[in-house]
Amino acid sequence: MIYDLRDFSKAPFGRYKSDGEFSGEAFREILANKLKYSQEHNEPLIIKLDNVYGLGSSFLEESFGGLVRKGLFTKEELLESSPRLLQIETEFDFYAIEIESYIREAQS
Amino acid sequence: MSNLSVPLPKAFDAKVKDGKVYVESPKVMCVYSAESAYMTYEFLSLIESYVFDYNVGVTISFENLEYFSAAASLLIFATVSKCQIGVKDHSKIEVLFPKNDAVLKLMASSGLKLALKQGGIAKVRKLIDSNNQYLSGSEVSIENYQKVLTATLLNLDKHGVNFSNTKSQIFVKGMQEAILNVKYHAYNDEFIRDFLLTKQVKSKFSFHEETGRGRWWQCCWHDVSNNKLIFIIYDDGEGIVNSIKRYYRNSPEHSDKLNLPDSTLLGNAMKLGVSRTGIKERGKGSADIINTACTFPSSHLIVMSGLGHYRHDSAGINTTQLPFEIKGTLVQWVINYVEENQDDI
Repeated sequence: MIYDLRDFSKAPFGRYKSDGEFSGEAFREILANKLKYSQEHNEPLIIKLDNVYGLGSSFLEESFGGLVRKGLFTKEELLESSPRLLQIETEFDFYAIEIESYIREAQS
Repeated sequence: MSNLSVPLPKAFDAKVKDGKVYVESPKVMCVYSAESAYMTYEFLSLIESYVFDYNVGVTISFENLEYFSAAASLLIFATVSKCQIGVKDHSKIEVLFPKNDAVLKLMASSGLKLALKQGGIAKVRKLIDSNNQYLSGSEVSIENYQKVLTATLLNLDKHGVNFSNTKSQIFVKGMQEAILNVKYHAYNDEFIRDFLLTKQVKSKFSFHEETGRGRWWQCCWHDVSNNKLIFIIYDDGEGIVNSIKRYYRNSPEHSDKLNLPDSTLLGNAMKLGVSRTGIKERGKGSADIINTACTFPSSHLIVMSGLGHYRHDSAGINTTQLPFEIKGTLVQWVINYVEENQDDI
């Protein structure tokens, strides 16, 4: 399954829902549902990041690191399954690196 | 009105005139040099005090202004618009523009003149619709981050600041985290609660509740002769330094750090992973704020809060004490966009 972050918002912002409608916390809920569906169908979820204006670290950490911290998925499920469940599609390598590091650093 | 019991400092030619207090700006308004910074700050604080402490109308004269710096211009916009938003009768705040043609022209071409004209919150919000260089946003949906970001990017485009895709992402990343910092550090719930408990409800913070929490002011200053974009974000809240001091005061294990100079506290706050909340996943945003300047060649970042001054450029980090205390936090990026264009070729 492919999900373009632009369909969530062209300008995602903030960590918590209290920061605004298009926060990391709000996106994580969508992400978790799509990941669950992909997992059940043994297919990867490809997140396209490049059609938005920019992504702050707070948004990324809460969205992706939050999946592990909140106990929704394990690091292994997200990064080490075959095929890899969570796949990031971006021309900006720093986003993919950052997201992976937040998932690996997160403690459930 | 002539019997008004308000301070009338001679330094600003303050007097009661036409039913209002009249004040004259310093000839030089700048926060970069210690000499003019003190007078600039005193002048802006005096205006705010007239409006919010004494509840009197003010005529703010810039007629003799000869020079204003980018950061000072943002503080002028923040102070004047804050006063304009804070009074119900907009005629209580009158602005007289510079007599000097060159200064007036700069004020007009930069969008500052439009930003200072008479009006309240509706005027401030209209600046977003016209993609002005001077903008103010809050958590209210019609002036939130998404609206202000779009206006900012359109303004940069209009002025020929064409970042590559990568650097545009990095610029927006930094801007996003700086605005988020306003919410987390400037107007956190504890601060607002304590402020409203200790001050009259008529205080300057009551308008934040009425017109939108988390208010910030920003400007894009195009230094065409030096091919630089100066992007500044300011809030008048608690500030990074005071926010950290509050955390230390409430945490006995950190009480020894309260004696550290503001410059050290600010320098520590800008380190990756440092957050006053103590929550492990927080404190990531400072890296985005730093990267925005450090990714661009010949560029730098300045952060001012309390008595702290922090500068980060390709040579490294330098922290110093300011000769005056800045309320809230000011974040300034100076970005050389010509080198950026050359890199893209």
